[in-house]
Amino acid sequence: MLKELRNIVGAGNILDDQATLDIYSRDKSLNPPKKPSAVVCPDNTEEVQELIRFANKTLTPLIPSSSGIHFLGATLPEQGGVVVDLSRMNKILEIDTQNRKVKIEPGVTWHQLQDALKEHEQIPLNPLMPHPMTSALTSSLEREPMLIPKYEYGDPVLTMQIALPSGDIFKTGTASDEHTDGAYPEGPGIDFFRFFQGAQGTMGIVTWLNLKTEYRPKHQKAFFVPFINMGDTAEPVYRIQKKHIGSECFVLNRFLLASLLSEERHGDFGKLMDELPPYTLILVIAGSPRRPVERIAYEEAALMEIASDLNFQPGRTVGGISGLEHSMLDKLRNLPSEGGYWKTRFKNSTQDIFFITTMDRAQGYADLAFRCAASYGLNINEVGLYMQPLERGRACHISFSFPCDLDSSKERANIRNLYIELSMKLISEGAFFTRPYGPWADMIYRRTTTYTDTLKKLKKVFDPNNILNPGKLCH
Amino acid sequence: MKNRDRNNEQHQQILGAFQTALGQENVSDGPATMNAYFGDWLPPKTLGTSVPPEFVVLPNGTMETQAIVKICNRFKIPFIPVGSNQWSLSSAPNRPGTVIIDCKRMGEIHEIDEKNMFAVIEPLVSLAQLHAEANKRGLYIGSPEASAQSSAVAGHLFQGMWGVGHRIGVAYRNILGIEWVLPNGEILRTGSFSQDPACGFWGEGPGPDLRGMLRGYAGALGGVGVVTKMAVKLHPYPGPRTWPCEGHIPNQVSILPEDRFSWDIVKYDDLEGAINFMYEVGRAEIAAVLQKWPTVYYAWWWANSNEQYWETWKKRTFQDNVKNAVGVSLWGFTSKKQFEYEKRVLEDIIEETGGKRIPREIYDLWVPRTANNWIRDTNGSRMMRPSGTFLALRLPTDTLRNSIGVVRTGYEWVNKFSPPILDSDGPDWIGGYDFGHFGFGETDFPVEKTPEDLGDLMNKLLGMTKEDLQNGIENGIGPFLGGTYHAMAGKVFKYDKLLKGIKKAIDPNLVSNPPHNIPVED
Repeated sequence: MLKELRNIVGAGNILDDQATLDIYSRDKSLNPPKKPSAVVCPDNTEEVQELIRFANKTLTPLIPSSSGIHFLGATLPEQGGVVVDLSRMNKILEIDTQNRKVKIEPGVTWHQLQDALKEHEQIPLNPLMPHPMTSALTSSLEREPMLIPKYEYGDPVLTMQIALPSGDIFKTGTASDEHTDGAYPEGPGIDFFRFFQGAQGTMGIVTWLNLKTEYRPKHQKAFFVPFINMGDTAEPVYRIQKKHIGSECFVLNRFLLASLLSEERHGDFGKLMDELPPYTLILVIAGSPRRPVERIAYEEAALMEIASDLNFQPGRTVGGISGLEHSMLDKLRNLPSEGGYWKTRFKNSTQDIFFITTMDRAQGYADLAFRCAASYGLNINEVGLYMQPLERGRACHISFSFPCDLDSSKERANIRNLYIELSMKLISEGAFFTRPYGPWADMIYRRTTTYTDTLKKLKKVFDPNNILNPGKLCH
Repeated sequence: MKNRDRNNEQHQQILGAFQTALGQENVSDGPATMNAYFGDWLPPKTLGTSVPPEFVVLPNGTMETQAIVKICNRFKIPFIPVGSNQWSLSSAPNRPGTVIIDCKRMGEIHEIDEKNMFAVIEPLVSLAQLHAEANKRGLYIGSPEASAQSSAVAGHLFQGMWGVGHRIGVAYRNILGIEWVLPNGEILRTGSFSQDPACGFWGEGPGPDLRGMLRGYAGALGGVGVVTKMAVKLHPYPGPRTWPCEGHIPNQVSILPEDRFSWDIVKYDDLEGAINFMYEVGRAEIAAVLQKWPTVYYAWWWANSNEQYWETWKKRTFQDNVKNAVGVSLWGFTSKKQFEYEKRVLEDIIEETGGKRIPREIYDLWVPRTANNWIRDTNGSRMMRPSGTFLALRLPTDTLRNSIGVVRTGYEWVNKFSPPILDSDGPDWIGGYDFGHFGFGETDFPVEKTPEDLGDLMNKLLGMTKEDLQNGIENGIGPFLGGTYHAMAGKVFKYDKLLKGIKKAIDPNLVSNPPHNIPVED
């Protein structure tokens, strides 16, 4: 096998020493380790196609992996096989400023993308302070929530090129027609692009992706609104979003905001925990390319009207923290190229439970999560809560973060049990786990038999030999 | 081939099965009813390519629809689901023995969640009905050119290039949870419906998103089962709670408050100038509607009759005044201050890009009767007035830049095909969507609704489409033909194996509106 793999990617791009295989056998999740038999690092689409053909011939599972940073177990080889590390495919193939889109390979990181777009006065539509070395392609393909809910048309994914499990190349949307700019996602035929989203690499290996970008604001203000309870944030956010106010908009609890801010305030975490309110709504009002100051002014006036009506106090800081506005805007606009990840500053991993719901239900889920955490002996002041309004507040993404010391088997077991129990409780209470990673897959797919059955049929059409990431989702 | 005789034994068996499932009053095989179900304004009936169905059934709800689909599978007879039944290119039976599943008894709005801005609807609910209910709650929705009288479910599943898509995206981005009877009779629930049939607030997943099977540029055309319930997005709306109409059709006008709504129609020397303006408006993130309509639309939508249309056309009232003009509607979503801000930005853009507003008398002639109507009702039905029908020959979506080439190529084909295409002044509709991320180009024109002219043109369009496919061009009109087109295009764009595989997997007896969405018989 190794000889054939070497012939495809070159001797220097295949790794099979035990130390490397150990690294690839685990990630930052609590899922059990699964060791691959080799790791290959292709450089281009043709090599990916060759690997797929080899896998079909030998019935070897292939596990696509776009970066070395994984939190959810999606790249652990459930049934063994070869990890296809795509991090060498890290080119930004095109920045189309006129149509506000960018074409990227899987190894392009969020930091790399944000940095490259700066000189074109563009920004990517990224999630909240992603690990700077994670793949922008995978993050978008896996439908991680973006920070800016004002784009009611949501999803930034446009078109893509996929190496199918057959080894054939397929392009979605108008990228299938070379006479176009490859911008529109629909077709050819049906909306194939949706089958590759949220698929954890089970339906094909995406070798490039066109993503929407937006203008990079030159003028902006950040506002912070303190709240005592999670539920109190809902009405203000509904009103703000319905009035088309602001750009980035999200809510963090004290623990997560302190974690995010203390990255540059070594030793200051405790002080921040003392100073910050239980919950903070962060709203960026950004000027557009034309008359930016006037735009900020009318949006700010509208924000203050809502604040007066609902009796909340937006400020340029919260808890008396100096320089907060500048610090927050800098973090949002300039992802670091290296250094620690803010969510693992407290402990060496974070186990996140996330789902989609509506904002009026958020308090109920928060109560459930904190009760459950307390019952496992956790200090609920060290549990993170992030609420991201989506599409003008029509729905929201909620994430609970449980810091976990991966080196402590006792803590791993405790958090793992909490993770399972709380996930099941949330699902039974209507929380929608739209991205079923790891143990969530069984919990979700057993509740929806026709969806599961149909998805399996599609998988068989696309991947009759089940070579792509077998064991994930319902496959 | 003909339908079975009504006295045929199997016909009676099937009839009995349907009647048991739905009750006698909801099943018909009468010739008069059958004759009402195989044609509309489009060519099939005129050209004699459609045949009457053998049965029309009216299920009420998902369970009854499931029962009908299972009976169709048992007897291996084709069914076609219809909503408002406005697209006979795919909804007219093309083979004997067909069952029309008419959703006339499924017209309920199950829920409007005002706070979370979505509605859960059944297939007969029209866009006009949904608009009216949404407006009462300070919300709105888009309408495609098929007009607001069309089914909102079908409108979301078909092309759905909404007039108001500049800010809120087009139909495919606005579908949330779906309840759907698959061709094999299983009930599929997608998005948040998959976990709780009472919660439709989210559309994707879980995992890979099976909504992909239903859509595509022109939808699956009934080839993948029957949608019986759909949650759709609604959007914040700064307008009055009831639609402000005055007068009676065809002289009805809609007047929106001037301190929150405005229309500007800005003219350029050439198409490039108009598109540049559209890019700038998109980049500035202002406006709710952004459309470059062709001159033929101005005449179509304004004229009250065939005579008035041709009289106006001959006088060149619109051709001389609105060529390369872009319609922009500003809405004060946030406040009057926002509205005033957007006016200033628009003024800057007009000045910088060298635009000129169309003459006041033309504006006053056209805007009150047609512009606001575009927001809710659109004006598609008025396009029948000049000649009884209209057709299009290219209508793909990509970028605004790309749409220039689309309509220019369209002119050439229009010239090649005139006659039977009637005079249309280089038709070039270009819509801007998602704040300028997408551009939609369409080349449509009037044509006489006669078997000779339509037959001639249909053959020409088919020839053009084949030529386009040979050159690797997706012209946008092809997908509206459904299976016939996908059988050809699937090979060119390399999706035929996948699409056939999916069709076979979920429709093993090939009963769901064959040959859509792709023929699988070798």
